[in-house]
Amino acid sequence: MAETSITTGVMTMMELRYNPITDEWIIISSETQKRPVLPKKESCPLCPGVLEMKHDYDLTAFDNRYPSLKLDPPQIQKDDFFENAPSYGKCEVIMFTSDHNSSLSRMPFGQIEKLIYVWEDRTRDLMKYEKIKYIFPFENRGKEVGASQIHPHGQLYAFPFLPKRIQTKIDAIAKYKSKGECAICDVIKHETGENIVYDGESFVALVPYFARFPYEVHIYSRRHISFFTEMTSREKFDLAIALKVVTSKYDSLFDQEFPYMMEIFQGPVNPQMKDFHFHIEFNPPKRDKVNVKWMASVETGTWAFINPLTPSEAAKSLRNASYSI
Amino acid sequence: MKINGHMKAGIGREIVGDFELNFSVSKSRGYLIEIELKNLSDAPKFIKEIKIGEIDSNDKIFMNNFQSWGPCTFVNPYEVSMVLKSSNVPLNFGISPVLWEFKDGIVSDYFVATDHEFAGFLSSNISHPYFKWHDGNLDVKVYIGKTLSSHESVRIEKLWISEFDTIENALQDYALEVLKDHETRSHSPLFGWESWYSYYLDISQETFLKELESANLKYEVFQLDDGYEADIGDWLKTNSKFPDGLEFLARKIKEKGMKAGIWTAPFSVSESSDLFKEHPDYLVKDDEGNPIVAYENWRRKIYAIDLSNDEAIEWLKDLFLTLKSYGYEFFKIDFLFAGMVPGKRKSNLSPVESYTRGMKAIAEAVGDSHILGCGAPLLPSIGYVDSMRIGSDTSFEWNGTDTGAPSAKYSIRNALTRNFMNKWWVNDPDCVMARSQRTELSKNERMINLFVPALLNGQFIESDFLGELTNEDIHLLMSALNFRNGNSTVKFIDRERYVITTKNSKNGDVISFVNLSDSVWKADLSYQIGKKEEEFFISYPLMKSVDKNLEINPRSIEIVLHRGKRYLRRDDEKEDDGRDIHYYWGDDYDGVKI
Repeated sequence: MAETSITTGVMTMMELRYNPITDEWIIISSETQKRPVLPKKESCPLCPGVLEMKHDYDLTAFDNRYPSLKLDPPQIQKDDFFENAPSYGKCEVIMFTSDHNSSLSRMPFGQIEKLIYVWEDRTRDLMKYEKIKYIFPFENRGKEVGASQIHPHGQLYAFPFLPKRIQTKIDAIAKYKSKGECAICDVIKHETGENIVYDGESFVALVPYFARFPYEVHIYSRRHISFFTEMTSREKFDLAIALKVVTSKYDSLFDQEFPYMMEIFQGPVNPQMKDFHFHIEFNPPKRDKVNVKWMASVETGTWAFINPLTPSEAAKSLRNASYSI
Repeated sequence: MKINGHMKAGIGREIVGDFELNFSVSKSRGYLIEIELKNLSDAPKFIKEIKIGEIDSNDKIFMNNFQSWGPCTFVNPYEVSMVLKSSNVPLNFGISPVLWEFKDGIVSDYFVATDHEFAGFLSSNISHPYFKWHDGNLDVKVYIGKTLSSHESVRIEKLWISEFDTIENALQDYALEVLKDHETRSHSPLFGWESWYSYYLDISQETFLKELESANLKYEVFQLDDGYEADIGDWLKTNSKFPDGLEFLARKIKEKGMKAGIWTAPFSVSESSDLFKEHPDYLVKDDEGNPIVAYENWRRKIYAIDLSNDEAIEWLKDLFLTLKSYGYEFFKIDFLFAGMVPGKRKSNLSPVESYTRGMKAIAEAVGDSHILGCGAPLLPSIGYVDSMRIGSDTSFEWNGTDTGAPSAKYSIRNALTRNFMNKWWVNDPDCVMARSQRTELSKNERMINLFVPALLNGQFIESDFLGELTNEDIHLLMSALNFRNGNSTVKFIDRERYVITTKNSKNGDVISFVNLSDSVWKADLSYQIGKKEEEFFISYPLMKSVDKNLEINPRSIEIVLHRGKRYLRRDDEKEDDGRDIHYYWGDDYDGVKI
């Protein structure tokens, strides 16, 4: 059995376990069970001066109070058969703004621009740890995707291994070499326009031809870059506009706060992989105003997705949706 | 006395009839002229207006009307005087307190500028100071309107005169000179909603509550405008459309977490009001003892409260103390010019002295609540209002006449030309309207109406049918809100074209080109904030790169986002449990920094 640690009187377990059947690492972390759920505004732990930030702030990044990965993980007990490893890494919370009632869709794009500089700084900082292999910023918005706080914030996981889907993307890059240089570069080149949601100068937002979710949107950099740290200030500005436009359109699509998972894909680090094309995926669970597209047996069990909405139709709806900046 | 921007420091003396004028001229970023007026006779003398001197005029002068709604712009004075003579524009005290001067000229109140000289009075505490253009001459005058006892001396308003490089710089300097002699109320711009431009006089309790129910944005204030009162002057008595009264509405607004706002015209009394019937003694009179008609509106004659009368002042205080006790914290006080109409008053106070007495009474009654002045004489209101309307009523129509009448175009024009007044109070450019329905304004015109007030970061009060806004209307409004909170300066290209340079709006630094004209404007982008690393320009709403040249369509605004590399400050801290926390601060952050 693995070693357990005791904090605040509760038995907790933190370790990585390898699944030889699927060739993937699983993070065991009973700490995360202690997270609070959807508090009222008065008790929001992310507002200035309440719990996490002792004073006012503009944006912050801080170590998650309930981490799955830590730079000083607990010791583990090796098993004779199963493979496991310490939960090395970093789990950070990134506050987008001190305004409790804001969101990416509502905040000025100037604030989103600053957020991109924060993501860049966190990437630069964390890639210095040699054992960190993948840095993954993301946002879960809405209770439909398990967000435990409504105060606008995201998270960042710095993994000591390449997560399964990242490995799949890397394998696809290698496979695509027989067809061309970069799949994303070629998708941008061949996109005729019917799937485009926002056509920016440095970034393009589209519902991909192969979308898995009904209103899935990808944001691709026009230039082949792999990291925030490679972006020019112009590109960071354009990315802020793209994020603002997409999230704002999402909210006006059904005239509601649109839930989504926003995943930011940079290249692996230590060593840096420059073949990887920077991109962002929005995976919203909504299939229409009322219904949710569940990750059910087929999707979860086989990774085969059934999308009930033609991507070009979804793109048209989003293209026509109004937005603010 | 010849007054100009290169006069010599020293003292001077002139005799005008029974009065002696003593001048003291000193250097102060230009010249400061202090003036003392003395009654030389052995008897009390009523003094109306008096000429202090004259300055050289031009074909094009920058003129200003004395009150909120009046124009502030470049004019050809000869042309304006001809238009006034031929058009029979009805003259009333809303246009000027010195109406007799318009028989043979036109008037610029408080300040005036020629092509190279700026002259401005620094206060209006006793007299109403103005510049009269006639026959190519500019007379410097003050209207006092009170009796000076035998050999009594009074210090009247100081006059500041300066040569300038640009009119914009002269106005900024003038605003600072004025501030030296005034204290201001603490104020900050508010985001709110009010009823006027959706319902006008048709507002009812039912429709007001319906709008309150639809108020989903983060309004700080929700204000009931004209239409609730039993009559002009009978402010605490509501008409039949408001059966539950004013206290009920204030409570309803506060329950939604907003400040309750109420409109009044506290210096005005209708001929049909109870107040008129019960207290004719409260009114300013003519020489025959009849009440003077200050103006006509609501299809009625409107008289003016005599604010030199102690009993009228007590009535005024009671009114605002009662409204405050009901829960109101935002007071839009309108048609204030009525307080300083010329005429007979109970006490020997000048119209301006009476006006400021009334304003002081209101300010003391409402305490730290917010006062928005409207239809107000500008200079004597400094220190008594938190915010001030600086242009005509806006409208759901673009054009109109440039006489202070409702107009979307001229309302915004004044917001631009009088932006320098934001040192005295929060400028109120009048309401914004995001709606695409029940308006004659095009989308470009609506964008001017929304974005100019946001960029100038004054009061931002919306007046829409909230339940009828389309998704696109709301997004336009939300976008405008994200251009607030900046510091802006305005450059005047000509009467109809302006450049707003904004630093640190919520959406960063922007340069906005406002074209009020009916022709395309080919502009260049040389109005930069300063060279930045990796600098680039993006135009809104297309969000495309622009080079140094721009074409701005007629009646439209082009906002150019001005960007370079951003620099965030980072402060690292350790939590007690050893966790890292990194604070990032943008240079535009206006919160409390550690």
